[in-house]
Amino acid sequence: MYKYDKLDRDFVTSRSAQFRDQVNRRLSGELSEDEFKPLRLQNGLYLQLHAYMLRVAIPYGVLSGAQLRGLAGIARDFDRGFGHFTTRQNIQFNWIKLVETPDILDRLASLDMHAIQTSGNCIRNVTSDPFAGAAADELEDPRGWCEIIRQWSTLHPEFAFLPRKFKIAVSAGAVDRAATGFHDIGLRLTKSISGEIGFRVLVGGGQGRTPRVAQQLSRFLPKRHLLSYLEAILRVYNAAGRRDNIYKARIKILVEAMGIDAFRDAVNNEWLLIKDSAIELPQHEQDRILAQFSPPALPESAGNKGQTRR
Amino acid sequence: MTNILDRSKSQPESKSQPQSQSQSQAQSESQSADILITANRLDDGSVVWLADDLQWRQERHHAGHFDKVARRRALAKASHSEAANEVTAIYEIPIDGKADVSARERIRALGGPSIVPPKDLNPT
Repeated sequence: MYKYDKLDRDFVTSRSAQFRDQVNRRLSGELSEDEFKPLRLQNGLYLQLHAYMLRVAIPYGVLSGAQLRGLAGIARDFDRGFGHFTTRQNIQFNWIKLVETPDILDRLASLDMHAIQTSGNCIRNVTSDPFAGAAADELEDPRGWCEIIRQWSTLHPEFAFLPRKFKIAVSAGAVDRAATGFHDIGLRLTKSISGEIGFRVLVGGGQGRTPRVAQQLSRFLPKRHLLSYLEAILRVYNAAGRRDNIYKARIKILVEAMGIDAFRDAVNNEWLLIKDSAIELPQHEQDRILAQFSPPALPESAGNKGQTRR
Repeated sequence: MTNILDRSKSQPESKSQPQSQSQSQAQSESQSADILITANRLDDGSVVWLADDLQWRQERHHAGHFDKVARRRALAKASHSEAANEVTAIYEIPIDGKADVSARERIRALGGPSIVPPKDLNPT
């Protein structure tokens, strides 16, 4: 699993301190509810049917024992002793007090966890195959790519106020266990004819009151272009997506209205402007992040000989 | 005075917080029906109802029924409470046999959860 370094820890800790200040300003009346709402949503805090609800990301569905115990502690100390695991690899606590939320975020930060962008009209936590890293049929571990997307999208200033929430899933298996066809963007690792591994890019899927299966935007995208291509898609959506009707604001509605070919043309036009620019992930960064998800070196024994290899 | 009912028609935060379907449907009826007034306490999110004595109470059975005459004073109190940062997300519920007994409002009044918790759960 991804291991936080000092930069990651400083970031989630400072984000928690920032939210503590925002909560204090809300409670004192310095911030109105209208001003505060987008801030709390981008920290995973909803006001729902019964109370505040805090949604915490569980990156790519993997928790360490210490993190799981930490979540149990949060449920015990700040909620009713239980939480709700969601289909998109989060846990939700449903009876959270606003005044205690900064303490919870501090607790999460100490566990190398956070609730950043688990709600709001921004790029949500990236999800993956629940068997990622352990599935025999996957081309490679997709979680490193999820993490790359997370780091690119976290607090991305251009995409903090999208027309609507935006969900990305990455799958590398022969079988799609990440439901990529039902995400705003679905990425399936695939092999080209020449044997190169890249992404098949799907766009415009979703469920809800207008269920749509995602359509193919690119049959094969080389890995090095992933971030510039995602940025181009988001730019088209951000500029042309509807903001007048919450039920018509998802990218699936835009793709359907434009038609997949016109949408692809718009993305490609935008992409040409940024392709091969500084947004492309440097190879050393890509290597650093992907290395976090390398399988552990297990000694081979007679019992498991060959079985630990994909 | 802010029109609380109009404000309640703003965008929901999630699918699990629908704009109280009863609210839009009952908007016109609410002008004639008696109303309940409900909100969440700002600091801890607890669900509260405005009682006849214009105090916020956590039990639905203490909710006041405000008729055409009492409504003005009740809504003024609610707006004042919001301005004083005591409550947020205020909305009216028409007592019309539909909105006030909707599944949403019944679940909200019970405080949740709407599932049966595990038997070994021992919440603090």
